[in-house]
Amino acid sequence: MTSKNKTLKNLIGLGRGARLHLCVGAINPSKIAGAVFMLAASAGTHAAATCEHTIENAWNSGFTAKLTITNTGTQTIDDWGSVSWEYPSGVVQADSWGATYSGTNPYTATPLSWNKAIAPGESIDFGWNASHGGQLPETIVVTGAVCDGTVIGSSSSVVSSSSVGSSSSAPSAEQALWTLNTEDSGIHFVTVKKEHTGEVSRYTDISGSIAVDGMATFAIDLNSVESNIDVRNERLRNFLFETNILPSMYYNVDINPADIETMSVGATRLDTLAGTLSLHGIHQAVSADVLIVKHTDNRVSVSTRAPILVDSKNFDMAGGIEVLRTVANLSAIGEVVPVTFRLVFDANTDPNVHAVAQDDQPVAPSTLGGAFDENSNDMTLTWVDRSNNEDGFIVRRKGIDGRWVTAGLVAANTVTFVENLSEVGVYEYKVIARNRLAASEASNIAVIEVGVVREPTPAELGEINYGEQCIACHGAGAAGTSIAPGLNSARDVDAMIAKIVASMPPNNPGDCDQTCAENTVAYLQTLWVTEVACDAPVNYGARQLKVLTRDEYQNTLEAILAIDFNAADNLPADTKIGFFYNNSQTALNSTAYDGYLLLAEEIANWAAVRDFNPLMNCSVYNVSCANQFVDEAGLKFFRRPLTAAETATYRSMAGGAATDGDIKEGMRVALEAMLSSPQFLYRHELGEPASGANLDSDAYELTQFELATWLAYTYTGSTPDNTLLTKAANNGLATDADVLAEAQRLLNSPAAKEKLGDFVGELLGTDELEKSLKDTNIWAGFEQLVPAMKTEAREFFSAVMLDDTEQFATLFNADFTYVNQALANHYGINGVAGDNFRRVSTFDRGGLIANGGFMARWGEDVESSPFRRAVKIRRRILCQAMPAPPAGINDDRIGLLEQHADFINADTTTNRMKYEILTNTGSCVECHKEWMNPLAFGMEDFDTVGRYRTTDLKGNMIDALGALYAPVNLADKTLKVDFDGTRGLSALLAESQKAQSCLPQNLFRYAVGVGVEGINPNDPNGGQLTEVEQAGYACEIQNLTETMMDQSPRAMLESFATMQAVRYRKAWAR
Amino acid sequence: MKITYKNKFDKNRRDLLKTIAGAGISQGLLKASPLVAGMMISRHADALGSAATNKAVCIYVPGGAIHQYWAPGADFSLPRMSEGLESVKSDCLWLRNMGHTSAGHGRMPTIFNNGWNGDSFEVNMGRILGENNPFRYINLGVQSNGQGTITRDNGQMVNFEDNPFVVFNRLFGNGSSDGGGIGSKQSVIDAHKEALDALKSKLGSYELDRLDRHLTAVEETEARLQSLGGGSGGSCNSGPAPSEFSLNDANFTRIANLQADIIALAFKCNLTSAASVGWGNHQGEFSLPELNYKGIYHQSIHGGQGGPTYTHYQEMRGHLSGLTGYLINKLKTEGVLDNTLVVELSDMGNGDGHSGDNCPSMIAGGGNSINTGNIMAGGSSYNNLHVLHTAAVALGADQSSAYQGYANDVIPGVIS
Repeated sequence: MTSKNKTLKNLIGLGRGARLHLCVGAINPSKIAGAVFMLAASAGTHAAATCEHTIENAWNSGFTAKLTITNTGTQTIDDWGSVSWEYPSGVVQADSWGATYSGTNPYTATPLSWNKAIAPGESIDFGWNASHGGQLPETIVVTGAVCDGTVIGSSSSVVSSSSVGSSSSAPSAEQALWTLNTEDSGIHFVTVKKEHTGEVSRYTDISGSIAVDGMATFAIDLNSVESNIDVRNERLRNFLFETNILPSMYYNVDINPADIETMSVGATRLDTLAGTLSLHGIHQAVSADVLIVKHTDNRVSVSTRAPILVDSKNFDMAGGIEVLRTVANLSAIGEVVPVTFRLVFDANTDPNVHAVAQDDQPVAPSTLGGAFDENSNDMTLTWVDRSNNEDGFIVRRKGIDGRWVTAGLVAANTVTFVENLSEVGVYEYKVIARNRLAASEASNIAVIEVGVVREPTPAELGEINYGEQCIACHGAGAAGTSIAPGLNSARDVDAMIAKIVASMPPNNPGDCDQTCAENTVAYLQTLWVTEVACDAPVNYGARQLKVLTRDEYQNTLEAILAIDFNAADNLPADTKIGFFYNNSQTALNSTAYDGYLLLAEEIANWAAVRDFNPLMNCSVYNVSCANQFVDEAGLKFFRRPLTAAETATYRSMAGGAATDGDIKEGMRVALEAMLSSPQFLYRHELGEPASGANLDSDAYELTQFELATWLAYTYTGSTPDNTLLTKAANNGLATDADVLAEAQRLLNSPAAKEKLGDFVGELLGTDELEKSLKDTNIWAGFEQLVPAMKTEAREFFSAVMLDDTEQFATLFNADFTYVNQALANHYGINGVAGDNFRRVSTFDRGGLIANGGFMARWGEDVESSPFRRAVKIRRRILCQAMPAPPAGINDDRIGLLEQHADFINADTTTNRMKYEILTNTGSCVECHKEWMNPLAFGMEDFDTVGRYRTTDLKGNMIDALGALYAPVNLADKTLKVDFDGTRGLSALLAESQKAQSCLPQNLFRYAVGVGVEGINPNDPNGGQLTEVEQAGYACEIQNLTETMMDQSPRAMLESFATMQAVRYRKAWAR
Repeated sequence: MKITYKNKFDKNRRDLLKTIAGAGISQGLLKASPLVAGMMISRHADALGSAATNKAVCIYVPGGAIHQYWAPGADFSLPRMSEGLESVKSDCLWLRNMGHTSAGHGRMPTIFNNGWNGDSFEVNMGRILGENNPFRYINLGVQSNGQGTITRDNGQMVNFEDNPFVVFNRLFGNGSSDGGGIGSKQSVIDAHKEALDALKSKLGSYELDRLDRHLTAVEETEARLQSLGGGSGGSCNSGPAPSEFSLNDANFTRIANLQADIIALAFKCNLTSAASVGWGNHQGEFSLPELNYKGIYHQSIHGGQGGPTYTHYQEMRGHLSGLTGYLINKLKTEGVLDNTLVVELSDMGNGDGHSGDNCPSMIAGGGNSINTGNIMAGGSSYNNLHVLHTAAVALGADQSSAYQGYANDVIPGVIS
């Protein structure tokens, strides 16, 4: 019974020759034949069944097995109960499908709801993958009541439900005929590392369908790869699949739906699917031998009979595998990956469920050519862009190791690519256009022969080393990953080199010697360069939808409806990006929408009670009034005339269509709808397609109304006034001169002063001064001064910025400030009476830093807070990327405090001395020694309530000698400028080029909503600016800085309005 | 056709809407503002009758804690940093000596999430546990001020809702304003959908994610409004609306307690199955005027004013534990603690050193599914994500195909 011949004979006798033949054909027949075993149960009064264990496929270290239960009797088996089997030691069963499994050798399977019944003559099967210790198991005994023939059968037959084909109405072309049951389906792939160790991975996010026209599409979100090890998942995503550019895999195959329809329930069919696999930007014909089982009229499954052998080389993934091999420190990773799947499809009758479809594929680039320049070692590629729907291009290179790798990514509409080649050899290139989910066919292949190269520079050698040893953790472009920080911003070079030599890479410290480390750092430094060549004809901003901030919402309603209450407190919080509240990336969720709707209802009710004054005033509520209301309110709230469709919708609403003909109530509802509408809540900066001499083909130009809106909210924080709306309606903002005139007009309004006050309040943090509570025993009365200090900063900044005779330097070295009587008394300034603020001359204070609000905001309750002040100077005044305190320091802070307790508490110990001793050891030194302490302690001549001082509270003399290390580039700690006290620091900042460019940089983010430093620096995994977009912003900031320094800060503010990046936009990648 | 994943999402949403549309709603509220009434979904508190743990609360506490002043003693005495949990300590499990995946400032989005995208834990639990609830999740803050969030919804950052009065109104309504009937509200929503469709067609794939999110938000609200049309009413009484007070720093504790009340009530009324709440944000720029120490939390941690025993830090952190204690106690008195798993995490261990060791992590509630009390569990090989995964397993949520999978290992000794 257990002999090979007997088993074979039985199999053939059951008419399963085809399957056997397939197995034999797939792998070594000598192994297969011995591995198949069947137990036939005798017929009689009981149901008869056979249970067979089959090895479907095998590889070096594992195999795929299947267990088939066949009802050989004449009665239906209602429930086959459970079956068990045991493997020889060394065999470990892994992932499985088609049954519920329990136990570990012996293993037991019990049925799922849909396969527990077996009709006479039919069979069900289920399977699993397993690893073995080098030898395939030969004889496997399957036991179980069903196999023994002790399961009682019945005469009932399986009830079939209505079939898809009999549905009463014909499905639409888009409708999915069958949809993938993601719960019961699975796709697995086996990777083999170190030649013998197999690892099974799977994807958790899969989707698929069979369309009416027979197109079966199966899609995998490659981001969902699950190898059970997080780091491995991340590496698979980053290096093998490159999911950042190509997140999906598709398998498309044309089948005949009728073939499934006509299968009877319980029937099986063998088939070979000849489809196309689209993976990693490559489309290849891939066939799969499958078993199709029709379980019920509404359920079919498709399983691989043999693994599909996906050769990574064919999909340009050999290079990625090599990276994986290197970073994981493995001797080998198999390049051919066996993939198995079991897909369960459910019939679909819902016409709203559409078939899964692959995105529109871009057209492949053509005419790829290139040349190598042996003087620069630069290879330049050019091609023709034939697609109109690409998001960008992937450039692939086959180097001298014969592996295709992704050499670079370039933006849409780009037709050149340059890279540096440092080794002699023959290179091949191809270019692929891609959009969000699909890739084009590849271009022709360009062959570049490199005969002679100059000696590579240290940075070039460093780049090679970075790619081999660092990129796995620190990411492409040294941008950082979740397991290691970015290295693409300036930092201490010597410290980096020392760290690399001592401890990098973590899995093999010492592998990168001094020269290697120096080269690597030389390469990293090239990533820090921020200077750009401003030679693009136009700097384009981004098309944007910005949700109104709370202040903008409030100001707008005050302007249009004259509301006299604080509505904005009920709105969702604004999002702070960097130092400024800005909703340019905010998405509205249901909480926010509910909030807007509730508030709109309240405001509309309020306005209706007042007969919609001052928006309009109808003597009679009739249709004409309603129509007029829609036109006028629409223009105000949408900041443009309504489209025809909008007019129809809103006139119908205002005319009482939804309010039983009640027109006033209809107008109230229309107002409510407008106040919570996308047209109102988003500031639109989308533009219309534009053409012009210097404009790119994908350029957009803001409409006149969008420009009016931009000017109004940027300069006044509110909605366009009638003058702006009229100009927009009459094409009165068509030229830069028109726009400049409006900017000048708006800057003269009181609202502009408020807007500048908001900016400086957010920049310095003084608008939240109440968050810096003071000890009332020592600083009694401080709370009453908080509003005055806030006002002082706002008055000072707006005065300097709006006065066209003022200079940038005044912002720091001013010898005046603005005070009222209370503040003057606090500062010890004589001769000021009353609550009104006035300009007074000063000698020990003045400017943005030597300023009560700034110093008190970054102060403790009793003493100053030197480090918080220093960090603000670095980040906000010098725009240096001062890192946050590093994560996971495990210094013994308690021990340090115990050690120095007496010193800290001594009367002779100043704040400076205390903080010095708490930061001059351990991990603190790296940042505190140069970057922090000398700068921070130079501001000790201001106490925590913003007063100049020469002694502290204990009577000790204040030492405010300081030094600004690394004044330009944070990495360059060798540069140092000494100063004496806060005024000395202010004098330095007044002349600092870094401070000069930083102010326009901050204003740019404040006004535009994105910054040269990125879309959202707080979100490392969020969208990134493309190089071209970023360079455009850098150039605009450069222009603004020049205007400010050549003319005045006011001229710079005015020139914001005529920036190219305001008028001209592109749909930059987000 | 860009429908590959959108379709799947749409389908989920449609299923959800169908369920919501069938939910009960009190007819007596029809005369109130339709929107408010729409929010005011009175429902039988199904949770109360169910033995299963089917709700989750995430609590974010900034600034870590010093382990020796946080972890209970052998006699189950609570050190000062945990003293606010005294009344509910038998319902809590302190996880000791825990590690952290991402200790430090500015990492709030990765404390309750295994990455910067996807869903944070409460959102994922809301999807899995609360498919039939009107609100997928609520995320409430106290003085977070739009800075620092823990909530990610399908990759999008969602700010805490800091205003408890707005939250209360949204969840329970006040029934006081006049309305124009469901028909007029439908026209408002239809106009918004039209506008979004027009915008989408204008923009193509650009900004599509944001606009889809907006559209989904509109449709979710619409579904709640439409559910006015059917159902038989319920018996969950939210009580009167809270009287308003100023939402400034001086009222930090009062705001926190009100947010806790709202979470307990929302759970009791089965309005949602998942909530998160944050006591401030990672910058720790809040003070608690009722304490002896009057400075801000940040300063209580750094600078050594409290001496080597960190008396100020201990006092403030102990008070924050009290806010958590209040919430747990409230869940208990509303009868939902046994159905609710509470997870509290922070962004570091000892805040003074921004340490990544000995990070305070806690699980509470969960009825018989969790080994609460003075149990020794945790360890340096486990981190915040293991806490989430353990909670997900205790909730059975790991069995769902929608489970994001925050870690692979369950912390031993936690699940009973």
